[in-house]
Amino acid sequence: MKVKATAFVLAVLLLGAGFYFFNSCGGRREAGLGTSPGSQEAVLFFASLDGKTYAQKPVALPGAAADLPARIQGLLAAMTAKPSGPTSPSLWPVSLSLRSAYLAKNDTLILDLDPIRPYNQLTGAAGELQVVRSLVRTLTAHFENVRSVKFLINGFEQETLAGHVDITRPLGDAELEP
Amino acid sequence: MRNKVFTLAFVLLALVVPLLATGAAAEEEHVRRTVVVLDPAHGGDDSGVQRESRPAEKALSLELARELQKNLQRNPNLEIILTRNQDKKKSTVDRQEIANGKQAVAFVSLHMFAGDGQASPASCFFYGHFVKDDSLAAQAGAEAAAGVRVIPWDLAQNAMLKQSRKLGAALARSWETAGPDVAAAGYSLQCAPLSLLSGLHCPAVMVEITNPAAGRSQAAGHAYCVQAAQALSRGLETFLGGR
Repeated sequence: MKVKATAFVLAVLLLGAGFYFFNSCGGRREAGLGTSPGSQEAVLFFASLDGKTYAQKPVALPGAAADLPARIQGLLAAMTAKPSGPTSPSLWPVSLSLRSAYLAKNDTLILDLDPIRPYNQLTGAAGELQVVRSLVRTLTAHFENVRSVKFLINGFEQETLAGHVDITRPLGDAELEP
Repeated sequence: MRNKVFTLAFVLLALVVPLLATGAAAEEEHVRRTVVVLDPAHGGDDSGVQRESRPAEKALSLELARELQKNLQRNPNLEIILTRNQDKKKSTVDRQEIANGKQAVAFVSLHMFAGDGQASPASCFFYGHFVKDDSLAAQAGAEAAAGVRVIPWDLAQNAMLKQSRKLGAALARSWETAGPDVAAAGYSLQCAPLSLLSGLHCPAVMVEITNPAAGRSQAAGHAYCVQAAQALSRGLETFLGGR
């Protein structure tokens, strides 16, 4: 009887520890790219204008997108959705439309976008940086194998995303640290 | 004999006077080389931030640059160059070439968020980040090994980052003692991967100034511009004085 009770307590403790470990290691992150639809839950990150803090917003992505571009498009749509209230973070009215996405060497995600719209309504360099920081943080947090993002526009390498931020090289946390 | 002495003295004088004159000219040239480049953002068909009927960023940034130039030109040791003085488009490389070609000691790119008159963000002072490019660095290393010092254009700012940060901090601190409208807006100093900054071989900062008065009236917008230019002049003079 005593042995059974001890075994039960140990099992509960092990389960609890396992659950804690899974969550602390980013349980919501996808183990691979395009391997399994996994959970449709995601956490979106929105950078402040000074780049020092990020607001987090958990969302449930609709549908079970199996391929990488569809899944990223779902994330972009959620990030640019019209905010439900004044305190709800969003990149709206920026519109981001994905053409394609690939995983390249060095854990770099190549993101091919249509030109960002509305180009001249962003709040200049700070607004553009805010978009880039939010995207990169969300994507690197969501996909376990992504450490940096390389942006293409209309399938081609461009100097900047919308006139200011240098997108000629992959951008990761190190490049975007304020 | 006396004639010979006079002739010799004349020849010596003829040789020395131009040398002295050259020295003076060189000194004057040295003084003139304290060049500061101001870069009004956008221009031509690139309006920058444009909100409804309010002035476009390209016009506001040029107004600010001219105001700042007026202030700084009071110092006779400074030569202030604007990358554009008209409503003309300039490429990133054009702007970099002006600063690098003139061997500027400071480059300040002026951007102005047109503002919505309500919740304007704080002004931002950006300096560049370290650009890592192994292939470019390897090329430069190979040239250096062959005895030729090469500065890859895209990596030019890497060697200047410490000074750029210092320039950014001096400009940002000037916000604290600026006029009430400017000071109230607040500021942040940030490191950022901005395309314009990476090819500059001098201390360089991009300033993006919020303008809460822009939506109210032209006069209020101009008054704000004057306050901002005064603050930036003080910041630049502090930086140049401490070099």
